[in-house]
Amino acid sequence: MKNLYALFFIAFIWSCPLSSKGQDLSFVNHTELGLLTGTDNFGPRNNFTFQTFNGVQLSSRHAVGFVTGLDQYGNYSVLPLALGYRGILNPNNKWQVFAGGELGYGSAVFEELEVNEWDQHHWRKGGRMAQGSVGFRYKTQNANFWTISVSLKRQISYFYIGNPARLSPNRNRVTDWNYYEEDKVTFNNLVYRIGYWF
Amino acid sequence: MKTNLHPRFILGAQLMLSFMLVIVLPSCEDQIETTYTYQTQVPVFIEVNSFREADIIIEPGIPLDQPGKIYIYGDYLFISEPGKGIHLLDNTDPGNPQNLNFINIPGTGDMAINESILYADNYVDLLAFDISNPENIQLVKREKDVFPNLYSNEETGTIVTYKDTLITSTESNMRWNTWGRPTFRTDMVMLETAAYAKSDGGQSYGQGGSMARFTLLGGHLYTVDEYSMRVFNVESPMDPKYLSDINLGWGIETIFPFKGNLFIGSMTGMHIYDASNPAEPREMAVYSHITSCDPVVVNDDYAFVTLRNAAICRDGANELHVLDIKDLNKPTLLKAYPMDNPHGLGLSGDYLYLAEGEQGLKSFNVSNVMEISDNQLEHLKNHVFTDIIPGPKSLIVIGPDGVCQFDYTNPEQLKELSCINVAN
Repeated sequence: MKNLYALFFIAFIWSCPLSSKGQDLSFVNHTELGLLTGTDNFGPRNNFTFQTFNGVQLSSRHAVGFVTGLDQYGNYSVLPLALGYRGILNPNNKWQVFAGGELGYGSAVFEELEVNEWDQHHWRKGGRMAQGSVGFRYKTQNANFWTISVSLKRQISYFYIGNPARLSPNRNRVTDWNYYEEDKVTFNNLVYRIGYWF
Repeated sequence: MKTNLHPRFILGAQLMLSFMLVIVLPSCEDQIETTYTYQTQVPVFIEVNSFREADIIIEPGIPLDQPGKIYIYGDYLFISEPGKGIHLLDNTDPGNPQNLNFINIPGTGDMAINESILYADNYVDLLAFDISNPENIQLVKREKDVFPNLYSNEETGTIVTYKDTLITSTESNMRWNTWGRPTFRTDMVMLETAAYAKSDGGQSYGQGGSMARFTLLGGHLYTVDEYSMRVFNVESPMDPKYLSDINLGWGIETIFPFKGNLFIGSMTGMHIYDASNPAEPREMAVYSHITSCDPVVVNDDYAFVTLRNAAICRDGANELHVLDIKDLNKPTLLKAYPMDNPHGLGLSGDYLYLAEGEQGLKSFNVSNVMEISDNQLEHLKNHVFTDIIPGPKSLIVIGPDGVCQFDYTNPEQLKELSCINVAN
């Protein structure tokens, strides 16, 4: 949770004051929907992803901002919170090539503790996230853009199983558990997205 | 086909395709690294000669580390460190107990005191110490091989004990198997019962908690372990003699003496033994309940039994049962009250004190046993408590964090006198 606050703070510093400097820094939103694909122990997985980039256009080629959204991995939902960058190779064309990158944290804030009938506790924790993308954007008549992109995304998460040794066990204290299993899962994704940029 | 795509676009597309070929095509497989951590007990083998030959060392007082059980005798308070030894404190002033000595007894579990003779187990042996002068504690007797269930090989004199250990591994064969992890825990029954201090047969006994596994009655020392009760003749206090072994089934946890009878708490129920012939206690009745952890305290008419849900007493309930024991041959359940996580308990006149584990300490007026829950007096939540002795000067309460004493001259309002906290 501390990481989340820190990240929010950095993002705030990063994006907001830039737009209030009185320079010609216009607001950018790039919202995308897509398919998150990868391979886990059970074979291919294909899930839904959504992300939205909000930031400022530093120049015709560069934009920075804050990225959030929702990534679904089976029944596991991750809320990404990241700093993002967008760079455009040929900003004057109808069809443009762009690249992007995000660095941040994927939060398991939507996950709840589950306790089964044998009093075995299951919970999940988020982790670092990094993503790199390339794609095309197509300029519409009112100077907005449709985008299509491909990304590589790496998301780390921690899955836990614990059999408590005491009544109100502390999740971070191993000695409160008779058995404590930590699975560090690194999701390596190939992501296909379409989006809209204004 | 003619294309009107911009050359820069084609360049971009080529760049992107090469990028994908290099980076994307190696398939995106998830990586999983698993760490398994267990708290378990690993067996430690010990030769009996090694501890029999070693001197029992009486050390100056040391801070509490993992307090287990409490026992009072006169103005002295005894606090056991399971497996390590016994702290001896001068409790003349309950507001300021003085740490006197630490009796270093490896493999000890419980204790009882009779006529200034302290009995304690030392793995398979029973030791008797003369504590009439706390400055000069003497080992007066070693009764050998009276707890033989610790032997892994009696012929070679090898005993097995289990040491708490935290094991961390990334080997997949360490994954938890819900049905069959080799768990070695045998000691998790840490129970106490408030046994009443009472002079009996001219001997003066100390007073243990409700979770005690050693007790004294009618010139005899009774000890319970998992399966059985052992009887020792201690009419000559310095010379305890092992008499017999009575099989009690399984999951035996606590023993509580009252007026010539022994009340034995087990995971499945409460056994009542008539000890009017102390050398040969006779079973009178068994009150059965669901599997649960449960110490017992009694008065003339009623027995108070706590049932606790814990790791080893799986599926247990958290309840206080009140039994009518006017006819000791036929204990009947009067009422069950829901509780948080009751451990040990202590009875003083019409007042019942109940250690609720992490939920602290509760006090009740039990003059009307049918309405105990309506007569809760206090709920002190600031400590973790597991057992209680209502002593002559103070109510002594123990938990994993230490030992606290309360003034209970006004039973309706406990007043904290002192707390001895563990060192770490």
